[in-house]
Amino acid sequence: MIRIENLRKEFDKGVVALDSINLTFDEGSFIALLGPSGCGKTTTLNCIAGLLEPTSGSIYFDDRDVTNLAPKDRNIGMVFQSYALYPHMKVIDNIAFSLKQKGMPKAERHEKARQMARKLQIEHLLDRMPGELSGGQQQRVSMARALVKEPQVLLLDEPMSNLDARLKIEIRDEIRRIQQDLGVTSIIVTHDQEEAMAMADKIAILDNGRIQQFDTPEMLYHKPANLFVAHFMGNPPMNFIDASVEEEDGTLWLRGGSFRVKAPAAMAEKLAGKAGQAVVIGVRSHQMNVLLAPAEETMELHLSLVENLGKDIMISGDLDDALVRVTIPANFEGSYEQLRELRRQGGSVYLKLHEDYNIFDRESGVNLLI
Amino acid sequence: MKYSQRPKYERRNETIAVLVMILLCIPVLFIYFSFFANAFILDSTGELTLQNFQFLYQPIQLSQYTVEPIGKAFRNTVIFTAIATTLEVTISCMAGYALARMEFTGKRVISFSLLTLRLFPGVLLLIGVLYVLLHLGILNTLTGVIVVAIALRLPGSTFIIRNFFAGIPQDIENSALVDGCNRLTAFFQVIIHMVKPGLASISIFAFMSAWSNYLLFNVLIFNTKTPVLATYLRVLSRNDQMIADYGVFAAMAMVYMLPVLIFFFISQRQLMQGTISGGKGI
Repeated sequence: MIRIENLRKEFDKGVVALDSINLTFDEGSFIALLGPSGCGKTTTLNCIAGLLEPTSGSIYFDDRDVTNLAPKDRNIGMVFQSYALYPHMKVIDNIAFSLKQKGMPKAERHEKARQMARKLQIEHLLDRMPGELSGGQQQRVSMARALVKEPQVLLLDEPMSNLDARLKIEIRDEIRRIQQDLGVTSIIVTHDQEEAMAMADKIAILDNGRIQQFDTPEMLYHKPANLFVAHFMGNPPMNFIDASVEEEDGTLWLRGGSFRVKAPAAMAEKLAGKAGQAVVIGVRSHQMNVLLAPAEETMELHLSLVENLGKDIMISGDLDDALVRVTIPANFEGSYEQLRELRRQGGSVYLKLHEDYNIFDRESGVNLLI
Repeated sequence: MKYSQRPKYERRNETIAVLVMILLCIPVLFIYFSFFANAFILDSTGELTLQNFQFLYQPIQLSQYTVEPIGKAFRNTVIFTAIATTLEVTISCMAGYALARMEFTGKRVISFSLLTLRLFPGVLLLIGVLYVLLHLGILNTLTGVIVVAIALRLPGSTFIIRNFFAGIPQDIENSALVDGCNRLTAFFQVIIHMVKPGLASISIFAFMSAWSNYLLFNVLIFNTKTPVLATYLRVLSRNDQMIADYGVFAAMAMVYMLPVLIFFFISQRQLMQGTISGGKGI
C-alpha cells in the first residue's frame, strides 16, 4: 500500500508544481496518473521515486515513511520514457545491474536476469548491446531491469510513448499481465487516456498540480467529477450544451437557447432547489437518439459534417453556440446518404437525450449529480 | 549510380581538385623530406647513417659544447606529462560533472568565467604567475610548472567535458540511482562510460599540450638541472652556438615527436568520434 499525504512541491521562483496531493493506493493495484502535459504527474512520480524532494508532505510505503529516503533505499523499480538502458553494458548486465549493486555474485544474478528475461520473452537478446535492439525490445529490457529486483513498487514513466500504435497495445497487455502475475503495486504516468483506461484499476486525473478526480475508469467516464475531467476523458470528447434550470409546477426543466427538456426523475432530485442556476449539460456522443423530424423535447442540430466511421456514422453540427458530435448506431432510421444530402441542403436533425447525461455547474464546473 | 559512371563534369572537377591538392602538398612534403634527410643522411658524404642519434646513449661534442645524453630530459618530460595529464583529466572531469549536474551557488559565475578565461592567451598571465610561484617558493621547479600548466589548461578541458556530461540523458542517471547506486557509484559505473569520447579528446589534448609544452619551461625554469625535451632541444639553437647542427637537431626532434605520433594514431578513432558526435548520449 502506498499513502501520499498533503504532498506539495515548489520549484525555484515559486512555481507550484503539486499542491495538497492526497492519494492511497491499495496493495497490488495498478494506478494511472493521467493529465495533460505540465499537470504534475511526472513530478508526483519522481517524488514517489525519491528523485525529487517534496517541499512538504509525506509518502508512506505500507507504514514505512520513505519521504526522506534515497531512491536506492526505497525498493522501487522504474521504467523510463527513454528506457534509459546503460549503453555500454550487454542486455544481461543491464538487467542484472541492480542485483550487482546489492553485491550478488555474478552467476546468481545472471541466473535471475535470465529468469526475468524468459518471462518477458527476451531471452534471445541477452548477449546483445542495447544499441542493437528495436524500441519494443528496449522497452522489454527496461521492464525486466525494473522487475528483477522484486520491487515493492513499480513506477512507469510514460513507458509506451515512443512505440508505434500497434506495439503499444501489445506491450500494454503484456505489462498488465506481468503486473498481475507478480502482484506488484504499479503506478503508470501517461497522457493517453485510452492507455490509462485499458490498464489501470484506478486513475488519478491531475491538472494544475491538483488531483481532479481519483476513481475507477468506469466512474471517470460515466460520472466525471467536474468539467475538466469530463473534457479530458473519452473519445470523441463529451458535448457541452449551455442551459439553465427552470421549475414549473413542481417539474424541473433544462432550458437552452432553442430547446427545453424535462430533467429525468433521478436528476430532478439532485437539482431540486437549483432553479435559475446556469448549468452545462454534458452528454456523450452516444447518449442521444437522432430523429429526422422534430418531436417533443428534442434539440435541433444544424448539420455541418457527416462522417462515415465504418462501424457507425458520426455527425457534427451547431446546437445553439455549441459544437455537438453524435455517433449514430447502425439501427438508425435513415441512411448515410440521406444525412449527406441533408447536410448539403443545410438541413437539421433533431436530438433526443437519453437519461444518463451529466449536469455541471457552469461557474464552478462541479458535477451537480454526484 | 556507380562511381565509375559518374558524369563527365564531375570527373573534370575531380581532376582539377587533385591537381590543386598536389600543388599544395609539395611544400609540406619538401619540409618533411629535408627533415628526414637531415636526420638520416650525413652532410659530408651523403650516405645513410644513424650517427646523428648518438645523443640517445652518450654525451656528444658539438664544437666547444658538450651535449648530455637525452635520458634525463626524456625522463623529466615523461614524468611531467604523466602527472599533468592525469591531474588535468581527473580534475576537469570532476569539475565538469559538478557544473553539468549539480546545483550550487556560484555555478553560473564559474561556468561563465571558464569561457572568459579561454579568451585570454596564457602568455599574458605569465608575469603574474612568475611572482606567485616565487612567493610560494616553487619557482624553478618541476612542481611549479606542473601547477601552472594544469591551471592554464583546466578551463578549456572542463568546458569541453562539461558539455559531454550535460549531453547524458537525466533518465539514465536517475535509472542508476533507482537501481541502487549513489551519485559516486553511478558516476563510475555508468556516467563515465558514456563520456568516453569526451574523455578521449581531453586526454589527447592534455597529453599533447603537456608533451610539447615549451613556453612554461622556458620562462619558469632557468637552471639546467631539470631539463625537459623542449629545453633540451633549445641547447642546440642557443645564441652562443651560432651555427646549429641541423642533423642532430632533426634527429632530436624526431625522438621528441615520436610518442605524440604513436599516441595520436592509437587514439585517433576515438578522437574523431568525440569531436564529431560532440557528446551525444547514446
